[in-house]
Amino acid sequence: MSAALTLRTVSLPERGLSSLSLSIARGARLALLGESGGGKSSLLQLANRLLEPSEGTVEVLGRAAREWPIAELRRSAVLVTQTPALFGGSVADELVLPLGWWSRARPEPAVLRAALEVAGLPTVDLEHPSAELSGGERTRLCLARAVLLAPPLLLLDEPTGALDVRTARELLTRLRAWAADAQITLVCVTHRPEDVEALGADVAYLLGGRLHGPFANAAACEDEAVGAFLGTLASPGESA
Amino acid sequence: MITLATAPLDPGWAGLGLAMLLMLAVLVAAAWVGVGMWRDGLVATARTSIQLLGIGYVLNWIFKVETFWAIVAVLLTMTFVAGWTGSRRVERALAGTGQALTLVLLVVLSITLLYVTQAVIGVDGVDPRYLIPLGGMILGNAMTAGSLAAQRFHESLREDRDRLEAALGLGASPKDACRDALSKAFRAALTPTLNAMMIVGIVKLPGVMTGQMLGGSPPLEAAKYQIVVMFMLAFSDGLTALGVLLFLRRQAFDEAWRLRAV
Repeated sequence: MSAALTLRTVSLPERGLSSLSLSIARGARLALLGESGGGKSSLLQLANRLLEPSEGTVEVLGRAAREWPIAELRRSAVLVTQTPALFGGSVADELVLPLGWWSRARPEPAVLRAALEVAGLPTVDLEHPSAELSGGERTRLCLARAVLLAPPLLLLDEPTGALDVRTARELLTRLRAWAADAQITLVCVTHRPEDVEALGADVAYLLGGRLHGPFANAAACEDEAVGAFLGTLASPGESA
Repeated sequence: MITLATAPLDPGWAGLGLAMLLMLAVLVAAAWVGVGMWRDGLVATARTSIQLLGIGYVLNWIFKVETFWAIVAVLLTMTFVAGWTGSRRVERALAGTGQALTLVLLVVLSITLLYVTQAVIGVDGVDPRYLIPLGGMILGNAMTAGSLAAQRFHESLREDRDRLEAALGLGASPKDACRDALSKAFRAALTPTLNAMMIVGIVKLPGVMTGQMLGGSPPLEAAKYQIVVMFMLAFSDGLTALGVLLFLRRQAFDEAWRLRAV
């Protein structure tokens, strides 16, 4: 079966990306680490054509991204941005908004609640105004929205950025179980090595505009550049 | 004692000279409070006199020759100037905004004039006395509405860029993604006219009504004219804003549903 996402020598100089190659099998999970401002978000945007590579090709589910009808591509490779995007209304309104864009029927409240539970918001009221949620709750609401959409390829940009270590671990563990169950391919940008394990993911590093990996787990990696990068993360004051 | 003039009175050249004394008086007052406004004041006086007398002569000629093409030429010139001026008011406008606004104004002007003169007022044939003043009012208002809509839409796209791109990332079409920006811009374009409609006749008597009464029409007839004009302006403002916004929405995104730099 074809891969969920394949990059072939993809370059985008204005975002500092050069000659990236990567293949992610369907149903697999990949965590993407690297320096901040290093182009991790841009890599996610390349996958659903919010960005176009200047060289190389991007394939999604075995088909060149450029050959997909754009609506279908965006609904097969969904991107959840780092800054939670709320559009107003209640929690339920936020959840079902993209379904309206996709001309899909509004699900039963029980389905909405199940999505909220995966995202770690089991107690939030569906009628609660989304504007009153805290930063961390907003992030999780946006994740719940993506869970509800359940696209074959889900691209998450720093979903744990606004969460403490324990909440992040619990969230990623649930997300992992959900993705494995629903056969969903996850690509998750993060700045925390401990997220990799919670997600049960392979790990790749984007350093100096080049990809290192994927590696089966962080410990198995003997790459020098990665070692140096992980060293900077482990320096005193930086550890959680 | 109250006297009602039966025909409009011409102020005459002597009258204009006397009116100019009013300008002189205000400039003297400015000098007296220590503001040197002589230069601006004289330029404004000269421009008002020259521009209005100029258009007066041109329209006098057009009313006399009564040729269809002369009227069309005047309306077209006004439309191009309005399209150009209106688009220059939009900061960092998207490419083609000027041409789009001009085209939209031309369509709106044609539809509105045709409907108002033929159906509403019942003008017999082509009469410059109706077409040109009404056309000028439509263009002046619609130009402002179009540039307000464009300006507000651009601002929304810039302010809301992150959220718009998030929506695109979740599979929203450009139409869905900028629904909010579009409705905000439409509202901004129509608000001045609607606000004016709220207070018209209470706070001040608007131009058409005043002009009609100065021209000798009974106040009630003048009031009916003003009502027609207000509705006409609201319609042309709304239609212009809509046309400009639909064009800008197309321009703002590329074929792969990406927001262009705005």
